[in-house]
Amino acid sequence: MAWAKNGTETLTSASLDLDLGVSTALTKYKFSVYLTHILNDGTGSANDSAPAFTFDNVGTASYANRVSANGGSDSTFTSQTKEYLSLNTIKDDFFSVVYFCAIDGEEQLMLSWTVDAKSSGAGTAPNRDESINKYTGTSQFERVDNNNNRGSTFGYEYDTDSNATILGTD
Amino acid sequence: MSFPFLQPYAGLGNSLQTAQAAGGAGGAVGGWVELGRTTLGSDGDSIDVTGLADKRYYMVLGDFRSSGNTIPSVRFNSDTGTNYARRQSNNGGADATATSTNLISWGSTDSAANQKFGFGYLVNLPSKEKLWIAQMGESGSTGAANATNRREVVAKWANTSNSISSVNIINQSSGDYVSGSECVVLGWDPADTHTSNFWEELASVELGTTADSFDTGTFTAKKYLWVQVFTKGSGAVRAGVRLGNSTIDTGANYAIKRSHNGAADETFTNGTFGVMTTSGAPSNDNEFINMFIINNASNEKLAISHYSRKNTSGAANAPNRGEIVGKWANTSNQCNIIQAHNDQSGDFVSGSIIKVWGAD
Repeated sequence: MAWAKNGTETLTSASLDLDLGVSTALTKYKFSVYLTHILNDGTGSANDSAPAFTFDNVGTASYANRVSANGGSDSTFTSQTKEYLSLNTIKDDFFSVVYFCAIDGEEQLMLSWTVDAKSSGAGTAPNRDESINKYTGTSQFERVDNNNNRGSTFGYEYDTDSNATILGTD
Repeated sequence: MSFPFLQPYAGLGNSLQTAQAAGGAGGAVGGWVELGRTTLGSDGDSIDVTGLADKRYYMVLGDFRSSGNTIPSVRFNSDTGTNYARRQSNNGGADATATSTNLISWGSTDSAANQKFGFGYLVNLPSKEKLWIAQMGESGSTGAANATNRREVVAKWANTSNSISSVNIINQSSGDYVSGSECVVLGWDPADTHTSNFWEELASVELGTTADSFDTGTFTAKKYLWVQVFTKGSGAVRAGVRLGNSTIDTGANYAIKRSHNGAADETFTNGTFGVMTTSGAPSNDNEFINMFIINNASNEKLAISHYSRKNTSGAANAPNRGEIVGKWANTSNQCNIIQAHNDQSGDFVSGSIIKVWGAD
């Protein structure tokens, strides 16, 4: 089958969360592309973000990843309660591309790339992260919850017009 | 010797028939749609794709064939001001940054007159800086004895007042892009309702038994290929991906450059492994491979691949990763068959998958 839109959400007000599949479950696909464009609303004492997501609202230690920031050595994280896309906190607006492979009965595998604008203007080079992730749930996911794990005290909220989208295919 | 039993996905037949009835590549709502392309009719230093619709996300494909040295670079909306900043790595080396530049270097300083292929993702909101994530593969000198090169780039265009209306490819070096070089821009927007998807499914197979290799069978060759492979292992397994025309080429006609788990790049030439091969051979491992291929008959076929390996089951075990640019040194035919193969003592088992999408 062709690639199809599975879900998209654009914030109409600032929030720590940007979720897909909450009110209407996502279609279960074997292969997906997950695009997120997150905007910084300027709040939080550190004004940063630790973007993390869960599948099917599972918050147990079901996640692991391997990540490199700015081409540095890989770091690994195991038995996590969320899936992380960056090694360090994100400083400003960011854009992530994630490929999901979700085969029923198997742990789910991901490949991701993130660019962080870091701060405004061409005088500042962006940051990047490369992360691969796995989720040990073996049922194909129907929901993806993305949030800033820094919380609103330290982190920024995802600003109005932030978008998350998932395309899928079998 | 028995051949592995290959089966299409459950339900694929009906889905494919529906897609074909709706117009070939289409049928489903909302995949990537082509917004514009420019193909050079004569040698030149610039490839401008103009008149782009305003979309939230873009995917850019670049097929750059060189005479002399070329360094593919990007601007948006023909903005020649110092409004760009980037971070890049060549062949897995330490990141370098450049700020307040008047373009984004996409390719490297590979001096060979050769084939270069890139893909990039771009996000576009008029009031926000535009962010770019891209990869570039370069064939190096002709032949499987010569290694490929690879480059990873992230960048921004610090424009906060316009949507992107054009993608401008520039050559920073002394050579030329030759006739046939091309840039294609795809788009996706939350408001889209189109069914004219750029990526058409060309092949979809699922292994129905235990085997050391399985392939797609012959499919309709296309210029741009997007391949996703899932292999499920029993015992020690290590997946590679070979290409062919009508039959799989198992000869020593491949070269790759690969990083495993972020380590320094390794180079393999005159190999039979294919346009990519993973590293290590853990037991009972599952692998997910994502690959883009430029597939011109008269040029070496270049593949940009990434893999994620499950490692031992459970969240206490981090997955493993790889980044590869490989080539198939065939310059006479398009690839129209793709194989996943295992060169270790174990096997791929039932449920392993190859999917191929493509477009001209």
